[in-house]
Amino acid sequence: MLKALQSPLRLMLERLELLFDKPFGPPWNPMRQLGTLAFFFFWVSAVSGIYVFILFDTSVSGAYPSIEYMTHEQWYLGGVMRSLHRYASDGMVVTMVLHLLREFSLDRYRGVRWYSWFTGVALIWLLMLSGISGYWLVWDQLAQYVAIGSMEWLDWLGIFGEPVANNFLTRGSLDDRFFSLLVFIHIFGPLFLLFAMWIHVLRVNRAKINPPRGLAFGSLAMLVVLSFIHPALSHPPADLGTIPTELGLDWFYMFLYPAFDLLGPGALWALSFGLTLLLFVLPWLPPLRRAKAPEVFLEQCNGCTRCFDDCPYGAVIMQPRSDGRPFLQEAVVNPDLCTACGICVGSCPMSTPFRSDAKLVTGIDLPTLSLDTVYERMTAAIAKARMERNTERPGILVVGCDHGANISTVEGDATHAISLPCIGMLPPSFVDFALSDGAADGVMLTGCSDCDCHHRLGIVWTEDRMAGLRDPYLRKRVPRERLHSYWAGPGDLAALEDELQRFRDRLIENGT
Amino acid sequence: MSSSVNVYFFIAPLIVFGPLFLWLLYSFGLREIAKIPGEIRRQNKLNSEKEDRFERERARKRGRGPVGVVRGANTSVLGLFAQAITYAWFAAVVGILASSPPYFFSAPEDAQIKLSLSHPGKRKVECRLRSREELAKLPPNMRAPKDCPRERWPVFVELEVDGKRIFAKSAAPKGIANDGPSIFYQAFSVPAGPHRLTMRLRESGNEGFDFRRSETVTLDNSQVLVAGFDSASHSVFFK
Repeated sequence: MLKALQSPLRLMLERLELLFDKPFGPPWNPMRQLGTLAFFFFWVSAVSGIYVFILFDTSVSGAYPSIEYMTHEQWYLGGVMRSLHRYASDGMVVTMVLHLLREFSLDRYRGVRWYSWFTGVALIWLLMLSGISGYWLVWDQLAQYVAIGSMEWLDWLGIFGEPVANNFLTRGSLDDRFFSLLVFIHIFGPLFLLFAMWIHVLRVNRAKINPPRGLAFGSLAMLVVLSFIHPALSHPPADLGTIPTELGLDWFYMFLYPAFDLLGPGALWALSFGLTLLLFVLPWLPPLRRAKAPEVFLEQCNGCTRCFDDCPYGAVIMQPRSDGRPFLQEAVVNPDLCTACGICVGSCPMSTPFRSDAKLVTGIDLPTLSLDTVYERMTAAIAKARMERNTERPGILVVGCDHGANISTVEGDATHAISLPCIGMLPPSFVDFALSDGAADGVMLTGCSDCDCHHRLGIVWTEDRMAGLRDPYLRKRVPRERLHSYWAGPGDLAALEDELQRFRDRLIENGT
Repeated sequence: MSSSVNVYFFIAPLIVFGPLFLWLLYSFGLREIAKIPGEIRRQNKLNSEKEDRFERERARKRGRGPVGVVRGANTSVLGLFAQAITYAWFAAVVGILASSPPYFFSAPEDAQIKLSLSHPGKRKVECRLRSREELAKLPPNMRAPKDCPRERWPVFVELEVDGKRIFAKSAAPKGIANDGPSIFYQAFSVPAGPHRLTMRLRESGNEGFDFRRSETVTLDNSQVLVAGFDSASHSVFFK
């Protein structure tokens, strides 16, 4: 059932991602930066909002003229800021919804990731409150419609002694004091939103909240140009003695209001609360069957902290030594935060196949896929590749990950593959081992799409380790021309096959 | 902008008093909050230098990793042009949906009658004076001369437009002790033009109605008419 929902959505979003990869390049691809873009749009909205507030008159009678002034008289700054404020907040809704759908389709909302999902759902309400309350302040006919609708919706709950909607009953009903309250809601709503956004990323290790500069610049330029070409305008001023007829709704925030008119407040509360509740409990429908967290083998652990540094989830912590060996610290895994990606295994300097022990034991290892098993699979794959290779067909070992392109399909032609939970689980010494003494003619590394590692940092750490930038390094003696990498997502299989063929041709050309 | 709102009214005090305000803040505590301890500053500097060294090393060692396809940001002219098209497409979606398609909330030839009233029903049991004997039995601090049970009757309201009943509901009093007002709030769309409105209200447990009003009103296009109860004059009103 869940897969039936996720798969078509993933297919659709992946096509968009691949489509945008071409013009933007993976680092600037907005589909891979949705969360950071939402943060960016918030800041644009906040800064432009501060300027708009300087010019804004907070009285009922002064609000509309002050906004008209900034829109028409000071159009070059006040008007642009007002439009930026509106369009950035709309952009935030778009990126937030896409971000939510994407994480759902990638199954990155269950298990240890429940916290970010759960807090993210609360953000939807806060964003809606922040956006809708902003529309009240213009005090035009749209504001009148939205404010009365919002208050009638709230009144249905019966939590107020008198209906709040009575503040909008007749001409003169709305006083400056109540209007100031609406202003405060629009100030404190976004402040709470920011606070909740901080909570949302609190448990994400090395959380990325800023988009790359190129993408930020492009997005800002887009908003500025849009603000000049299509400035945000007001409706005629509010008049509580009449009902608005035709309204230009901001559908990003106000899509529920026509539903309110159609269904009434009770049905809408049921719908919105039901949907919110469903989203809240989604991580447990059903819960993710988690792989067992890694075990630390203290006899192999010297407390070097590399696994602590590399864990993308902050699941490894360092604690004082408990076994009396002459080291200061030891690694301890918090299973509640661990996704069993294996990146810690790849970071451990003891994860080396160049050892004489009968069984490969490392400092930190996955119970479900031990390094010894990886070693056995790798040696078997290399042996097969060696048997099948000839001068026209170099023996190639492909190492990929369970979330990227399905590498089992590239097997054949003296090419054999092993898949890991994450490419970051591969210790560089295994590449050295695979290429030493002519074991394999070439090693190809692949994983998820570029800049889109399922476990966030697997690709970055692998690239840095191979380039000698991050411990454990790939030794200098390893011939780099026999090592190739291509990061390919599940929908990028054809490109991976092409790249593999190019690598094969190059190996033949080099006479490997 | 209207003459009552002048931007300089905001900017001038900011320029004059802003620095003074900041200086005061700084003098009275902000300095202590803003001052970063020397140890942390040194550590930040070391971290920043380490980061710079790493980036220099990354640049130097680039290409020493696997010979792979490095797919960086696309900054070619064609790439930037394609990005501009993508941005334009996104901007068009945002710009259009931010104010259109239009939503027709109400037809121009319609008007609205809003029934809104908050009125307490009569007490179910009327107040009565306590006798001397009764008062003597009570603790001294509770010897109120009147005994007033708090519970009130629900209020029943009927509204007719041109002889057709469009609303007839009873609302229970608010409050845990059922001693608060009964509240009604509902809007009805009617065609603009003359209408005969009748509203009746019952606030007690008696048969019939305690208040009523019938009036012919002419509603303009899009006009909102409020039907309510004025607690000062104790009468139903249409305005």
